[in-house]
Amino acid sequence: MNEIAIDLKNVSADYENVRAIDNISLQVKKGEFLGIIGPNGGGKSTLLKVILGLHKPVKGTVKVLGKNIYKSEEKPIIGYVPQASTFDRKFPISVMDVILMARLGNGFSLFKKYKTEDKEIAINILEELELIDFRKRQIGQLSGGQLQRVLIARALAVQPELILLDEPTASVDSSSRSSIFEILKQLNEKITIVVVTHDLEAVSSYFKSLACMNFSLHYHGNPELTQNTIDKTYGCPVDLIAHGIPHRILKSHETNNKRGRKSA
Amino acid sequence: MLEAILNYNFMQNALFAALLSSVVCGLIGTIIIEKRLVMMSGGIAHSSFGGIGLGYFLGFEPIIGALIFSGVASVAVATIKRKTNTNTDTFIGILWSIGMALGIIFIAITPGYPPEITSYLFGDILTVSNTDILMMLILVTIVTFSIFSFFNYWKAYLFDETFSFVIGLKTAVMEYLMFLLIGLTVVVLIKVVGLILVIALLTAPPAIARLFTYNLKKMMALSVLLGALFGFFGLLLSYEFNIASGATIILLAGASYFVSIFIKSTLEKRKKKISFSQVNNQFKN
Repeated sequence: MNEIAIDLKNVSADYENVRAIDNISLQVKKGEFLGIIGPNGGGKSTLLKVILGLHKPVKGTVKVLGKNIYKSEEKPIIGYVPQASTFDRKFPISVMDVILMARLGNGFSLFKKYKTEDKEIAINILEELELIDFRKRQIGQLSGGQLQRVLIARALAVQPELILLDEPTASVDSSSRSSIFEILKQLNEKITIVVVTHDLEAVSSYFKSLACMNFSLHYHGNPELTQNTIDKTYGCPVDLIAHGIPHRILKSHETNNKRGRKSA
Repeated sequence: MLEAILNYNFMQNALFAALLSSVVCGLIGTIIIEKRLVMMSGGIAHSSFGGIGLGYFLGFEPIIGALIFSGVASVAVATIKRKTNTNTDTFIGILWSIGMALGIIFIAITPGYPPEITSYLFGDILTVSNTDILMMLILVTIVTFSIFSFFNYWKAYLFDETFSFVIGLKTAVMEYLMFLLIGLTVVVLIKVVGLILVIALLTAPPAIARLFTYNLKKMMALSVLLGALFGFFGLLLSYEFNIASGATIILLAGASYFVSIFIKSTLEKRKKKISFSQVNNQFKN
């Protein structure tokens, strides 16, 4: 039995000829609830893309659920939750159809129809996440928090062992925000979860472990952040308890960032 | 006009061509609108003019040349879109003009009198031949089959390409197929509205349909119906008043688009006035 969900060894990846992440090694055990934090442009989303098989690294090996994602023919089953804000809200698709698309991965056929089994899986998940009343709605008629929950539901419909979320609380109000993290906490009893986030508030209350990304990995361990780690990651002092504004600068500081980029 | 349709073969062909093109307009137009490929489709359409010129120069059927060129252009567009992260605007713009320029050069060096090219540029539905109809029929069948046999996959791909890739769909294959279908569609429409006017006929029906439905299948069906109406009434008007058919169809489609936007916004304003509190409650849920 393989106990490692994600295994990155010495991974470097470029983004448009600029090194975005440098020589990262990261092991995520099964059952983990990992938060990846770091400044904008710190390579968080590139790291996520590398793990998803969307962005081929220039160096290193990427193993997800025991499969070498850039080599093996068979893909690992991953539930991916993109940012809700990246969607065209006017797209003519209902909530139910969004969930059902997760079932397209298992077996290709012409004139593909969803099986009763697929529909049952979708309905169960919608009930679990209290979205069942919205199933016929077009996605534009949902609030930001509801759409984000729909995207989580879709990832669950894949029936994955691992879920990756990209800024799940970026476009939602504070009450949906805590409900989303509560949902994730519950799911974590069965599923490995990795969250890329700006949300430092969530750090101590929900994550089991934490990775701080800025170009390279600065910290990977339990989620009790010290000011020292935060300073290293963000390259400048950040207010640990800033509510709503995750990156408030307290003192004036010189930018000693490796790439000379001011962290945003 | 009905009498003319019964009596003249060319009128029957014209009507049939209008109906055939409405099918691809509705299906592919919807994809173009949802995937925001208007400029890319324009590029593919215009580059097919190079093939028309080549057809004249080498002495084969120009529309076959258009088919080859739009096929090559769609593969090129898809490849460039995949290979580069930066936007493909510049490439599309250059492809667009190069295609036109090649067509003009080929026609200029073709010996003898310069051929009549306006029917390819602006369409002439009254000159659609039996061979044209046969070719349109084949292309429309290919496009329709490709859309319906993968319908759920198309829906997933159009809505969220990244997620589709992550769950193991062959999104690269779908992207190439999509551009090829756009290429074929352009060729179907050349005889009807001409390659310069093609874009409006591809975009107006689905853009109107989008205002009134939130269901992808219904949007396609409604677009096909609208395309057929524009084709039929455009043909009618152009026959009665003896004006260019392609331009008439396009003006009809364009005018209907703006009228629909106006109607939709008026309806919404009225709805808001009547039940402002109701709507407000709905959003809170």
